[in-house]
Amino acid sequence: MVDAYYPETLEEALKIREEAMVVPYAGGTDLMVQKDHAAPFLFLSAIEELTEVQTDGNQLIIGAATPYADLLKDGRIPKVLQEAVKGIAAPAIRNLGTIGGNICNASPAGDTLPVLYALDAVLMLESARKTQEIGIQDFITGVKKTRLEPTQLLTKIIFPIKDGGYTYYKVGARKAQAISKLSFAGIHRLQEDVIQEISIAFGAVGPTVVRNREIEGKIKGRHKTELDIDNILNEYGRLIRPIDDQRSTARYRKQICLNILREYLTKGL
Amino acid sequence: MSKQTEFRLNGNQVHTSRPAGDRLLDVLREEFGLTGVKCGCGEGECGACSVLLNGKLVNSCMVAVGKVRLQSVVTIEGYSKTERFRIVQKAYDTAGAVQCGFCTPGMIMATEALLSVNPDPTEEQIRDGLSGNLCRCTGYNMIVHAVSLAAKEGRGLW
Repeated sequence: MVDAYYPETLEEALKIREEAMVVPYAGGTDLMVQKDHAAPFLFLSAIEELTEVQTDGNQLIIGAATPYADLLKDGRIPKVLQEAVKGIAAPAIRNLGTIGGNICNASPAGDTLPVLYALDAVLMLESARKTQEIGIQDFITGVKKTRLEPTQLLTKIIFPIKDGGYTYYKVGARKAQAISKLSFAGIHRLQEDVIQEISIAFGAVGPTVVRNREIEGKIKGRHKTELDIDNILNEYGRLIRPIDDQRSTARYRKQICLNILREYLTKGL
Repeated sequence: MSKQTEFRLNGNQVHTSRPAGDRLLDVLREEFGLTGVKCGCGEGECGACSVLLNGKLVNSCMVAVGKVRLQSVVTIEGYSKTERFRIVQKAYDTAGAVQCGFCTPGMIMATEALLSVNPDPTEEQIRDGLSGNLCRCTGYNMIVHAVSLAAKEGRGLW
């Protein structure tokens, strides 16, 4: 039996993915704490196409197996994403863990996810036979569940480079090595204090990241001092339905999300 | 696709026939007898199993041995033969940064990883550099002091 695969090109990796049952191994930090693996590993870190960052016009294209530490060193990565990455674990894990791994692991507490939702990230899924692009919100379908097919690999994360401001918050038990109790990403662009664009995402307060374009649509076009903040909080309050678990309580999570949102809308814009 | 994984370990070319999915930590301890690499938590929380992979700090409990194929791994045993180690060792000694000693190999590898990219770190940078390594004895201040002492005493070495 084959023990593991070590492709050097994406083409090779996709061919293996087509022909064999394998577990894609990017950083390994989530995989290695699970005890059993049903299939041999497909090691991805030698594949250059998957570990580089490129720009194309106003689009940023991040190879899915790019480690967090590389994203911190790259000036092209938006500050809001770097801030989220800085809050992940500690240096040793940031040297291994990858952005694509964070997405495919699909934990509700994945720290890059709210930011990627707010950035309108599009994911490139490739198999030997076809290439498909899908919005991150359509790719992640539930707790640890994605639309990745057994023949596919997540190869690229793509989003537009935009000007504007942001707020990112991670609430955890301590600064390093904490899994989020909740997280928040708000990204906006204002013109003469009128909100042109805004995207708001909450992490770890539901099976998947909470983002709602309808509410965002109502905020857009308004002067930042003329927002009906209580009403906006009410609307998000109906969408944020966290759970009690070992890290926090539903009540705490919801209240802190709304507190952060209030602060963001009153002082962060 | 051979079942042998070849890699560089503390400067020597080695190979293992353990399954590629086995933890690097277990291969280092059980096959190569490198027991300076400790298993504390087994899930990347404590840093006691820290080693350098191509010069970068990693938790060896979270690395499948297949991942280090054709790469270079340095453990505390290999690092202890260097001039840099002697400076770090003396600094840990002077600062009283070692009590039970279980976290020490990991702390020292984190120290080397930090100084190798930032030879003159601020206190905050030191605390960030060691943030993945737990110590239940010292309360950390002595270790932070040791790292700044090593940076000072070893100026020019990193």
